Amino acid sequence: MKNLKLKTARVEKDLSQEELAKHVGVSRQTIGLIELGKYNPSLKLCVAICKTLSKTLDDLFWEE
Amino acid sequence: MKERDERVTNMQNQIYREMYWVVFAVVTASAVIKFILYGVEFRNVATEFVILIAQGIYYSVRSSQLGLFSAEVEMHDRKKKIPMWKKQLLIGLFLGVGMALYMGIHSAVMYADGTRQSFYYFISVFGVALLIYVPFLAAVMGISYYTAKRQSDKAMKKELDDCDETW
Repeated sequence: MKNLKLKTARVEKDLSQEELAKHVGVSRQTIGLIELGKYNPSLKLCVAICKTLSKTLDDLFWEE
Repeated sequence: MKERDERVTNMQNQIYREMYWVVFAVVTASAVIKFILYGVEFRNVATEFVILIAQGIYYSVRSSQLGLFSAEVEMHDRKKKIPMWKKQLLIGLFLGVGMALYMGIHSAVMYADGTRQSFYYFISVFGVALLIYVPFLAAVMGISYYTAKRQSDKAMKKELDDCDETW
């Protein structure tokens, strides 16, 4: 399932996939795949993404 | 769906990774011991050579097919001063120089009579081998890098296309 919340938060922060990837220390492809819901990130990576985008885990990764 | 404990799977993957290095070390040690015991002959270490080359080729092919190679290049180039493509060419160049040095020394030691002839043999064989092996190995490394990168970029693009089209 696509992660629309992550994509929206990233765009709100005015970050490209590549910039977010650099911030959290992964490749651009990894961010793309997370947004597509094709890759399940580790908790460590989720936390790094949340911190970079100033969001909580619930905001970005909790599915209603 | 089969239930799997992700911690167990991760630990198993870690063990497989370590196991790879154990196999690598055993195969390398076997080749070195054979060189010492039976002399530097390719036919003595053919099996070891096939094992080492085959696993390298398998990894390259799979990582290109899965688009992993592009991510590896991206991460490498982000951290290192020398980009991956340049590193591949340099590896080819150093391998070529190494091969030429080995052949020069081998020919001087095995076939020459006296210091002067040894020097002459070394220079001539080293020079010719350098001209053959350096461009050849640099081309092999460069072309394999280019091919792997191209295939990997294509595979990754295909996987991410959905993202670009609908987002």
